[in-house]
Amino acid sequence: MNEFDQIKFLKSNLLDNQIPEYLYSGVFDRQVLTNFRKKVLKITNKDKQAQRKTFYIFIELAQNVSYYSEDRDLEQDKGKGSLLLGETEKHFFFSIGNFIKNEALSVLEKKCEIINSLDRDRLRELKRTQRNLIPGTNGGAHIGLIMVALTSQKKINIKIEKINDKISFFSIKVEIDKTKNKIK
Amino acid sequence: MAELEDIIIEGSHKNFFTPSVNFNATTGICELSGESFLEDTVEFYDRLIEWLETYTEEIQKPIAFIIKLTYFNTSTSRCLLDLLNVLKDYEENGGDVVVNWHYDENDTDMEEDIEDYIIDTGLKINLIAL
Repeated sequence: MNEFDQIKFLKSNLLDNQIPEYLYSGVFDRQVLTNFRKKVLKITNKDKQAQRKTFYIFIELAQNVSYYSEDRDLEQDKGKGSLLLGETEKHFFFSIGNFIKNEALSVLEKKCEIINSLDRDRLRELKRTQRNLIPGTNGGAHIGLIMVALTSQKKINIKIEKINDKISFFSIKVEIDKTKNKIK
Repeated sequence: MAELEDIIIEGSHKNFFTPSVNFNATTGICELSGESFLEDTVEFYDRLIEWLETYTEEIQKPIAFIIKLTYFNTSTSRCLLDLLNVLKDYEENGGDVVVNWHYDENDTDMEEDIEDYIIDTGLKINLIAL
């Protein structure tokens, strides 16, 4: 796991004009979440609607790394992963990734495939169904990735690298369009 | 029967976001506001759910449930569903329930989520755009 260059992998999924302003690789503990939360709020400060969306998605995905990453800080029992954050003229973006067991990978890929195949109404229906299930570990509501798709209003963009027979590196890139304070 | 104590929690915004809670057993006015992103979401909300269940089983007076959450994560969203289902059960058993959900009129995601809670629970939730 230590030899795999996570930041390089995350950057490989960015477009040419997506230059990250902030990069991090390490444990996703409370302090890191707080620090990055502040960075998200700072970078999106002039666009409150996009700020809300970016913040929401960031918290969901960062918490997922903390809870579910295979690479863990055993003392804190928090997951490790990597994160890039930046903006272009048209959107805010971040890319986040962590190691996962290969046996969990096919379920995750299938979930993303299903989410990406549904229109908004069907996605909301799926959210309602999933949310009614018995909560997962850490009180998970099974709807994190669905909410990412609904909130960003885009398909989920994932990229996976198989590391060995046991684990892979799973990453997700999210773009949130700037709204320039449009009022409904 | 032991008296049901009010729940009053002041919201905070440190590493995690704790919502403000004011559940009043005398007036039946229950307010949940602020932001909800907690480390122990289930533990926090189980206490509120238990309080509501006790109120509906033992006090059985009208409830005005007021939600003014500006942000909540997905773990919270599941707990909100459980809270609303307690209210729905109470209503179906003859209880007097009013639910008002205040939200930013520019927050279309929140508006949609409230509509989804209405579909899910069958409760009449009054959307109050600010």
